[in-house]
Amino acid sequence: MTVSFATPLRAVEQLDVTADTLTARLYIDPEHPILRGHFPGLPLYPGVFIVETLCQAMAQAFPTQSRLLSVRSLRLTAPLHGGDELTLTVKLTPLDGGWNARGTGRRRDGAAAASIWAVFGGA
Amino acid sequence: MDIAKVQAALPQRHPLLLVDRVLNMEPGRSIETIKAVTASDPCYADVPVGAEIGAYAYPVSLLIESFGQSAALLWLGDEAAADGSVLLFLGAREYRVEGRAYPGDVVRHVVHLEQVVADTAFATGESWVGDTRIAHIGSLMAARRPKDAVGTTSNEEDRHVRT
Repeated sequence: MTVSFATPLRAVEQLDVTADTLTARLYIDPEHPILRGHFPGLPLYPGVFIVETLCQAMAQAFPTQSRLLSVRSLRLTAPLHGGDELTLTVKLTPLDGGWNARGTGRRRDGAAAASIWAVFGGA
Repeated sequence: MDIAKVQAALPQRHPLLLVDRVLNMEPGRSIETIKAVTASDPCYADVPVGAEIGAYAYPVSLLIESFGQSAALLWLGDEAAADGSVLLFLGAREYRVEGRAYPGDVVRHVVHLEQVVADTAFATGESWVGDTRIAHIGSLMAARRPKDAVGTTSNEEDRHVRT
């Protein structure tokens, strides 16, 4: 997907949306300039970019309700290396005209890499 | 601390080196840093002509990363990258977005070190643009790990080589 706002990288390649679930997938490109700087010789998807992946998924699924208001909790439990693939599955519940989003990010091997709980409001 | 010292101290490199200058630091307690946002930052490369101003809001992911790098400078001083170590973000709690930064703004991070347990640090603080607070950070956790310890175990090819 392409994004029309400021972003460090394309953080969602494929997005599936059902009634209350988003599933975002991303191949972690080890050659991306961001990963060359994070870190030289050890390309890792920056943990905080789980927030970026979630924001881009929300922007595509709910363009008018995708303003990030808060990250209630973010936990990073395993590194995402260049060459791996991130699958972020997010459950949504309505909240004050926006969304409560709780999700888990997994690597290609199924290991949990991250959990996130964030709140989005009207753009 | 100028950018030469900041770059020497942190393991992150362009375009993810997100602290421009340290304004002041009370070692082990607090630090104040700045990150200048400009339209030539790589994150603006694909914003289309005709986009509304909101499209130019500096990404929150980069704001958090910039705050985290400031915390690392406070925690580890000029030794954050010592021995080829890398810094891993472990998590955050109650990060509140209260405003936005745009090209031309100078973001000022005020970071307080709450606790250090072994190789893990906990920080709290705020991010400002001028007199406007744009973020409140309840808690942020980061760890320093030797590069070798982070390994490449999530890589499919590596796994095959091992088995």
